Amino acid sequence: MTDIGLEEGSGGEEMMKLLEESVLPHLEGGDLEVGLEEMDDGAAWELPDGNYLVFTTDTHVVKPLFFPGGDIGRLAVSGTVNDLAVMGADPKYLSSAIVVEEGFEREKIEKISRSMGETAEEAGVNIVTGDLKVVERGGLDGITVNTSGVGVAERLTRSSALEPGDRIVVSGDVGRHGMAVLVSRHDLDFSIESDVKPVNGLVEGLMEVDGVKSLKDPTRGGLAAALNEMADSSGVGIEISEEKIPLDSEVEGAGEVLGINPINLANEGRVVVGVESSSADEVMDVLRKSSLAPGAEVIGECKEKNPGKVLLETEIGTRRILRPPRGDPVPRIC
Amino acid sequence: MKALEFRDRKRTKELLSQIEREMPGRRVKVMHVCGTHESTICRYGLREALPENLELVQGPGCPVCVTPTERVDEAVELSKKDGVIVATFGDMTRVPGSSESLVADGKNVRIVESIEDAAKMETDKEVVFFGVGFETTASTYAPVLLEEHEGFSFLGSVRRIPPAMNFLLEECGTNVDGFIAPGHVSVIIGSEAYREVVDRHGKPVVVGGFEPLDVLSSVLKLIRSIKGESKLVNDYGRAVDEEGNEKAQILIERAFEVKESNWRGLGDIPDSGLELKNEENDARKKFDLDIGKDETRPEGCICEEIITGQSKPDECELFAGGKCDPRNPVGPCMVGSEGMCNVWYRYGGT
Amino acid sequence: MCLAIPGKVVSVEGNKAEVEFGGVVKEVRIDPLEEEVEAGDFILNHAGFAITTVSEEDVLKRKEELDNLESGVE
Repeated sequence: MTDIGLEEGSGGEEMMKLLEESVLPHLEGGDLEVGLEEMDDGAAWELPDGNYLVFTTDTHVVKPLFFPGGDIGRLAVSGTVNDLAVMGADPKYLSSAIVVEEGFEREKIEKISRSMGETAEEAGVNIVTGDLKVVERGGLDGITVNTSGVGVAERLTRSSALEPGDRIVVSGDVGRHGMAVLVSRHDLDFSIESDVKPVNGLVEGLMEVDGVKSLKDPTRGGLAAALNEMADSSGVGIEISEEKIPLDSEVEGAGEVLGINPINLANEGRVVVGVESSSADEVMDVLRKSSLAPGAEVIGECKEKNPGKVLLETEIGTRRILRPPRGDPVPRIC
Repeated sequence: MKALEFRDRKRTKELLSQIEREMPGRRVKVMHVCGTHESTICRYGLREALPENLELVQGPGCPVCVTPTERVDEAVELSKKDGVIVATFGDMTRVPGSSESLVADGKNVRIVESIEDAAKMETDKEVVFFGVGFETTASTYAPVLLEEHEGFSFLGSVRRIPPAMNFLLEECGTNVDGFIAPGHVSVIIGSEAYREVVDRHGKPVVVGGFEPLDVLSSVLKLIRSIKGESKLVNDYGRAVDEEGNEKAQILIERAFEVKESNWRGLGDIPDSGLELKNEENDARKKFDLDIGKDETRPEGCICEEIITGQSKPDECELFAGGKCDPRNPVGPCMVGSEGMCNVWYRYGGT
Repeated sequence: MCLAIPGKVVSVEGNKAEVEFGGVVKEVRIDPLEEEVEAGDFILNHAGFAITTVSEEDVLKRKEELDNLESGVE
């Protein structure tokens, strides 16, 4: 067994391996509707009234702390709210645990807290409990924020629910958050803002469409990772049309300079929807009417062939396999 | 820029059928020498769409990949000096030297998009631009290197492509039926620069552009040349002519001298390097750098075979086993964004 | 490194041009160019420098050529 490398934090294959070999075997997962084994966006268990209580947690290590369009505070609240939302839950209460390095500026803590409060208000959730620790200089890089959250769902949406014929919709242009963080980290001349925001309001509208079966927030690993997870959990093949994937021209341009495909970069204000074909138009209606879904598009369809794989039809009509990004194209993105 | 795109579905289908129809009844192996061609091929799934009997390989067309370890070590050493900033293009920061790459903390490294950003950087420190590239990029370095810039110097790793193509055929026993020559290098050097490859070695060369239809067209023309008489074809007429960009060539000649150069994975190739003429802004002389050759070859790494077109990334145990990736590259082919392994990694192969 | 991105010239001043690339305007040096450029021309930008122009005429010619490749004439 080797020591942990950065790639094991990427959310990809290496991380799965680490969890499967060294972490999960020691944990008793409990008997829940959606539990530890599912490794979904959160856990869910059935309440006496037939609804589900959904619970999730996330720790944020984004660098830089303040990036165009947001900061670690906004990210911490949005991330957890969105994880609850994409499981079908109405997010209600969050906790916030902060560990800060000795010497960290008081002013920054205030700024981050203010950002958390504002974002929570935007999402309609409350931060009801928390913790604060300080470690000695050098014990941590600045600050790390963990948020956990609970919400209630009438029905759960699952990555594994897709079937051949279902359509895949994405709520807006991709790769923004990842690219904004990268561009600001390297001080490049592009004006790209992160899309970080709570999208539970958007999901609420989507949950009213009966045909909506699966929701995913494409964070680490981007759209490519999200699509692959959906194909893999559901055992369907997903065919995507590259031309239909909404992409901002500056994000595309920055991607060319940095040699990174936006399809592999994190989004923090987007939703990928798996919906029955008969309800696809209704989903598009909901998205078009919302300010939280700029440029939503139907990008593909689930098929029986090539189960577990994602196939991309290129602009010129040829095909290639869209693999999940291996390793971490960008560390400390969320 | 839609106006300059050649990505039409109908034409793609027709070209692919045409290529299928005109294939000779045997295996054909062609080599391109440009990471940007490889990107187009992978991004548009061209290998899969082209006939099975057509093998398309990449040669040493990645300037980052062929930069020897010791050049990187020089840049790393400079970046650790007080009062020095090393500026370079994004992917150079990930190249591993003999023990570390430029990217780690505690070093003064800045990513820039052009040599001019480096020369005009506002700082009290000395800026050293670590410049890699082939003739295309040399033509952008030259104008700035011919200007006076205070507190600025150049650490170069600049090379010429045609000598490498000849070297592959003469010294490496590379066995290909023909070449697709890199379009933008050719903008500068002209299509006639490949005359020796055609006349002396009898291998057809087609100068190709980078849109997917350009690549398919070049493949078709190369097949025709292979079946008929070996010749030199300019298939990128909208940007390339026979003599090339003579103004750019003069700028290069004024700033650089042609010398022998060491290519990672290939060795010393005569007349293949462009060295700075003006010693005053040569970082090697200014900072008295003297780092010896690093001959080590990492275990399991088959980059030499990949760079010379004999193997593909998926035949490498390190690549296939997930032990070599852009964040932890073992060999040169994974390092630069133009390296075959790097492109395959990003586009999921083929 | 053959990556050269096409852009449309917005304005020219001395050895520099303002060039538009899909919505973003950047400054590009035009020293390596053999030909004169003016607003409306297309150039290929490599690492902050224009290495060649591409005319609309050339683009049209290429389209025609691609359509006639089946006839086996070069």
